[in-house]
Amino acid sequence: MFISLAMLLTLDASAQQVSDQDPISPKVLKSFQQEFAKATNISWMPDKDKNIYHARFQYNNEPVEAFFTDDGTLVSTARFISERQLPIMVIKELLNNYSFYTIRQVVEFTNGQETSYMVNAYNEKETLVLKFFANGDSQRVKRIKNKS
Amino acid sequence: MKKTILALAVILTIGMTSAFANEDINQNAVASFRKDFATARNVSWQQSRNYVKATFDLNNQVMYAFYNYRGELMAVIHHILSNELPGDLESALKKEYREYWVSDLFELSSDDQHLYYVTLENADTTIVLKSDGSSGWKYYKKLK
Repeated sequence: MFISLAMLLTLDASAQQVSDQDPISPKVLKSFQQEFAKATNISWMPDKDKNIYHARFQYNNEPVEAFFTDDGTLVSTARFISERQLPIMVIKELLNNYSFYTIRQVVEFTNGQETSYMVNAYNEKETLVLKFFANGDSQRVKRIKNKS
Repeated sequence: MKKTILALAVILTIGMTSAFANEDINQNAVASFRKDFATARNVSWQQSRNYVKATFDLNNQVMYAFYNYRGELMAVIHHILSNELPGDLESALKKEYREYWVSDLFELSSDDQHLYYVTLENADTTIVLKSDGSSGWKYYKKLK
């Protein structure tokens, strides 16, 4: 589930369509209000097929996304961060192993148990989606060859 | 290793500059550093009886790397702003420690640990909290 949530954000966030037609479950709304009482500019993107409610909002002056199941459980929180905000060991790995890539986007995911970082990086040949943990451990989630 | 990491954190929280003397720098540490941080700039070295410390710029950020005399990287430390914390830790500071201001905040990484230490002050008290990034802030020590 984490990977699919992450892919939503790191591959093509602009392609998402905000829906305000389906009602949000009261349990989800209550949970959201408890977790993010000061959120503003809230948009919901419910996806009932996947049993996930996706909220996009401003929190502490930053764009944040949160994912809930329909029973109100907060599955994951994501926020777009700068490369500078990455943990030291992630920066070190990027500089040592991906110096020929340009960082397009970094998303921090927190799920209560762990924090991880999805990095979308590209060069003239390909685009990579990499998942990093704070200690620098990483895995390649996706590799897309650029169209020639 | 955990004791050593703790010692490094204490050095940083109470001031580390006096802990080092000008001696020849251990070459195991220098060689490891060059491999670990090939793109580092403005590197300066200090060493004590137990550690070798490199201060350097990486990605336009000042960082400190600590090596032992075998050239093993023990920890990397850098100061951060509160908005550079993981989101839940930043929120927890704002929610649970509103009566304090942040006077110091740094990230400490090693092979097996990734920790954040924050020094919080108010008119009467100075406390240090730490977090492993996944389980909120925990009281670490009281300075005043």
